[in-house]
Amino acid sequence: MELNQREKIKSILFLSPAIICFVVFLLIPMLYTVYLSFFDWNMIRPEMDFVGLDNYIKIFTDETTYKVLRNTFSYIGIILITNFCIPFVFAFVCKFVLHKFANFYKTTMFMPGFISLIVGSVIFTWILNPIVGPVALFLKEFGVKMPVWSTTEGLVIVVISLITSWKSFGYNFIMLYSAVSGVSGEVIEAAQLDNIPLRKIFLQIVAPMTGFTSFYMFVMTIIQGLTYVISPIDVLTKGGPNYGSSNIVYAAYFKAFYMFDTGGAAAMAVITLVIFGFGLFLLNEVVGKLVYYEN
Amino acid sequence: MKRIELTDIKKAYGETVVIPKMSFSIADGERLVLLGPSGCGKSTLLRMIAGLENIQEGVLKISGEDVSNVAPGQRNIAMVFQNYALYPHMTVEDNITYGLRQNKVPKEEVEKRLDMVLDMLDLRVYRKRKPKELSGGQRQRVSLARATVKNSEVFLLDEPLSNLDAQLRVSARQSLLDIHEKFKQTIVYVTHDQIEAMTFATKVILLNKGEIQMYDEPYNVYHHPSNVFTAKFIGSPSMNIMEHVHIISNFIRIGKQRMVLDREWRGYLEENTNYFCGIRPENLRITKKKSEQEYSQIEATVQYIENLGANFAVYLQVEGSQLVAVIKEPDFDVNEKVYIEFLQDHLHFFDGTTEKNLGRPASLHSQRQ
Repeated sequence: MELNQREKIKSILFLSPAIICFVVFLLIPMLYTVYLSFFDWNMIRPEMDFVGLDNYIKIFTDETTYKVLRNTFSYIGIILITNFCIPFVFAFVCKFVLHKFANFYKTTMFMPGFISLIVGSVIFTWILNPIVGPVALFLKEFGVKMPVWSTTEGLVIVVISLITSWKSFGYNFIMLYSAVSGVSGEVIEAAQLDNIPLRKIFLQIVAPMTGFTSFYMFVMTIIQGLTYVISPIDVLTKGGPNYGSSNIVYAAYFKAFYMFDTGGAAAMAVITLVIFGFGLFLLNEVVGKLVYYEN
Repeated sequence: MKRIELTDIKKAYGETVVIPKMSFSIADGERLVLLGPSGCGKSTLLRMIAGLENIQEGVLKISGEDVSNVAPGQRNIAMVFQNYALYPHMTVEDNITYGLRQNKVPKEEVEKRLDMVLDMLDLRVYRKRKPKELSGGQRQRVSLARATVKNSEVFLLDEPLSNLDAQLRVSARQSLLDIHEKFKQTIVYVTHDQIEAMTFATKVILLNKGEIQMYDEPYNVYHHPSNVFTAKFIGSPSMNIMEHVHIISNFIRIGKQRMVLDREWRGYLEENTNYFCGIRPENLRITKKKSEQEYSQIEATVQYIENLGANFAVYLQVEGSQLVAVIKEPDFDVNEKVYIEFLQDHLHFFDGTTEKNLGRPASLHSQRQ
């Protein structure tokens, strides 16, 4: 009994650093956000007015919310292609199809990962400047006028997605490459001898065999698509034109730090949390069950 | 028809030449074993036949057709890999039929072949299991089954039994022989294990450093090795090779000792020439007492004795070099002086420089044809 008691105290002591960090930096802010979402406050005023569900009602009746939500899914969709599907295929090609220069490609693709996304965004504002940027000048040679992408709805999302994926492509690639490398070369050769085309080797053998890591990367890419885009949005467009490049996370940030509508921002953050928490739960239930685990 | 022909095949990885230049052909329905120490190029050769390694120079023909630049999937070859290469996320059944289904073999045909092979390799109860739920021997049978259902005329095996324990090897070998009995494929089998080669092959190619040392039936490879390398590689304990052996009149001179040469050998060998003389451990006779007949034996000291179970291996010191004898039961001890006699029918003489076997007089039993 006494020993049990001591063991208990010991385990609590060992767990406490992690628990304290979790509570102080995650749980309390999260609960406080939920609390804030019921108030009208601007972070400076001493008194906070309780407004009930007003903040939520305002968000749900606002047209721009739906626009921003659509943008959010567009970003995720594009980044899933550029940062999950493409690096996955590249990893497969580098490992099993290419026999030369595979190392060169690996290094090259990882390099942008070393550069901060803010710096990258600044570089891209110059490269993609529609009047004096090198891309615009190059297109001009062929008589093509570069559209002002930062004020063109739709296009702005594509460009910001590409800038974001430029940064995290390498990391995702390396993760997926290591997963693909775990597939035994003999298995691939056995499939080649069975006259299975490369496309099917990838989809029916490599993808399921690396399911564990690739599912993880799939989820991480969704989160990248949700959160990483906010730095380039902030540097390049501040969410414009007319919320055309804002996503839900940036919209909450914008509300909080540009409009000082703390309550509204908190409500938006809570909505984001609910949507994505539920989405990821569903994904894990459905896809997670299909994933092949080696052990 | 299912003949495999390799002509002037060459393979190098950068500066390292694996196979300098090689030509041979494999007859229809042969069970050919590519045997050799690691790094001799046997796996490379097999993988070139499969198409998994490109052929830099030379021509590979299967059934008379040049397939040197044909993709592996188009060569209609079945292959069993050392680590089985099963698809871990598929059941046994799916593993076996995946290739067939992807190549649009009709469903009934797939079922028929699956049924046949499940019975043949005793896999029926495991058909719904995944590879990780199987033992090594069962996985091995699945990979055999997968290769068998293809009905390929050429069957390649890359050290297929090396991950199995001794007893499983025997049964797996039997399964392989059954498959061959039924389908009569042309089999190319890579191994470094001479027992597998001896028991399984109808023909053996012994390789060393990318060159063919001998290409013959297992019997001849053992009893009539073509050169010193072959003689030493085949057999365990390996053949005793004595260096700097000379013939002087009717004697063999080994170091300072000499022994009368049998009548059959006389005149076959030249005097004052440097030979390698080989004799298998089982062809040595050891006595404690010196024979009455002069020069019928040489003197040796027992170094140590190894118990092999059925036999004993006796390591002897003769004139500064070591000889091994395999005998039923030793009646002497370590460090004792003994006398050894050679069963001269089984002597081999190799050229002192080229190391090639010089053959034997016609009066002694010769190679099996």
